[in-house]
Amino acid sequence: MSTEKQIVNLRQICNSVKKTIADRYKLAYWVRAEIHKLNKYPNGGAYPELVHKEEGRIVAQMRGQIWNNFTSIENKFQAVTKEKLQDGMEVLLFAKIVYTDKGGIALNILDIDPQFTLGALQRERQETWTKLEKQGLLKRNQLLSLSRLPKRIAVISGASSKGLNDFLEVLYKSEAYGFMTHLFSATLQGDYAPQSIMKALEKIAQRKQYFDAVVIVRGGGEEVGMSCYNNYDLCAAIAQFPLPVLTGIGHSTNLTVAEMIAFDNGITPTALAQFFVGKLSEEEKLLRRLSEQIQQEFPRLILNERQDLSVSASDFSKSVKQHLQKKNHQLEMLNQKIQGRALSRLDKGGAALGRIGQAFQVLCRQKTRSSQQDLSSLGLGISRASIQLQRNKQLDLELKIKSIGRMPKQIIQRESERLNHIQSKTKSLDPSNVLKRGFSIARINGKAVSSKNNDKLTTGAIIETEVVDGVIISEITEVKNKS
Amino acid sequence: MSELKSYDKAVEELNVILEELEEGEIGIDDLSAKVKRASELIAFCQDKLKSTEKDVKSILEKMDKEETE
Repeated sequence: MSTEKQIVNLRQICNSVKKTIADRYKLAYWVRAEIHKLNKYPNGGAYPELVHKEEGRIVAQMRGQIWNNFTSIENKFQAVTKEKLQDGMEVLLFAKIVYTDKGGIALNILDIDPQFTLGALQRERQETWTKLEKQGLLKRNQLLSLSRLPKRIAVISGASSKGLNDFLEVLYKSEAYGFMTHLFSATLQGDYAPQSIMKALEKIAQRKQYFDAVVIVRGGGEEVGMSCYNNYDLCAAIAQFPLPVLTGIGHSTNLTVAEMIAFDNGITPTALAQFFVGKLSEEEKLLRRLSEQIQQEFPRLILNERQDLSVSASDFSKSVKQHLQKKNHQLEMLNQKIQGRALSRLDKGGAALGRIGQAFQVLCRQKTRSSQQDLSSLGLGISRASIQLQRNKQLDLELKIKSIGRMPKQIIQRESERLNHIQSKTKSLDPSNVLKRGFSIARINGKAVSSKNNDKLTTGAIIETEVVDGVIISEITEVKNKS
Repeated sequence: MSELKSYDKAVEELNVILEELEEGEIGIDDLSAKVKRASELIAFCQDKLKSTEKDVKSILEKMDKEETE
């Protein structure tokens, strides 16, 4: 037995392993893994550190390598997912297990399936939404009320971001509303964004009494790296923030959860800034309108506000005129009402001729009396107004009031004539006038007999017959049908 | 004259005055006082609208400075 050691060099070992692996793993596999660290190289390749985690702990780890096709893989990936390949991302790799002399076992990545990652991102979005919904947080921030003058704005953005510049430009070039902004720098896209933005929010929360609103602005055209706005922790922090949080983070085709649950979403930083400017210009318009309306009510008073504000009679004449016109209109309305009622009375009177005549006259008289009362109390009110005016020594106005004061009398006269006409019309229908023409009324026990089918009409019963000038008492001897 | 504090309250009061003017509920004696009050309120609101919050800005800057030290 030979005790001589068999020595091989490292190269030989490597070659042996390499051959074994090449023989054993001839095919490429679809491998699911998380990119722990991407390790992008300037030469166009990448050496991602791949891991498999269970309950947050790394339980398997292997080096990956992408040679010169990295750019095309990444472009394809980005086109579908709107995300760059980045640390912490779950990916599905098409890879061959290789052994390299210098680096040991590695996964030689031939392709990355963007659909897999897209699915994972959409799932995260959905999960965040569902979780917020369950906790009743979806509308939490939207239910806050924004100050009517939201001028003090906490801005979360990258210090040198184009979005920030756009936002500030619109705010400050707008009519001088005196906006006050304060920047809280944060990373606004990619894996680190949620944590960074939450840190900024925390800082703002400590100073919340100095702000009316928080904005998150990001821009510059790049539409990748937005999935961080679907992060549950970030979205929950926005939803529960004590101030309204507004977003202007770019035009993604798919709104992120953060944009949907924010107090308002301006889409772009510029549009968001316009929202604020719009709020203030609305208030400015409101103030202008209020001011104009008050001036319209009493123009002279406003003009003389810094001088003596005592009311002169001539200033007052306009409002008195309005008052009188109003009263005049009321009288007209009353007039129409009386006419309408009188006519409807007449209709009813026609329908129930025999019975109503007398009562109708009474009603007509009452109506005349009450409308006289209405009118004279209106007249009295106007006379009072005129007394007030006399105090102001407004002779011309006094004349106007007198002319309008005559109104009630004219109306009463007109109404009296109208009612007299109605009375004379209805008088001809009065039963007593009917009797004059030779008709009579037969009554039994005081009730008018209108038919022979009356059980009181028995032989021997007493009938009272009313004629125009008296009553005839007679006894029934027979009741028979009309011949 | 009550003190002027909040923009919201001032606008609210302006609306009430306008309503009273429109309804004709204000007597002659109160007119001048009401109109004076309205112009005060409008001036106050316009000032709120246009003024810059320089005090707040300097407070915030001071806080930032203290934090980094």
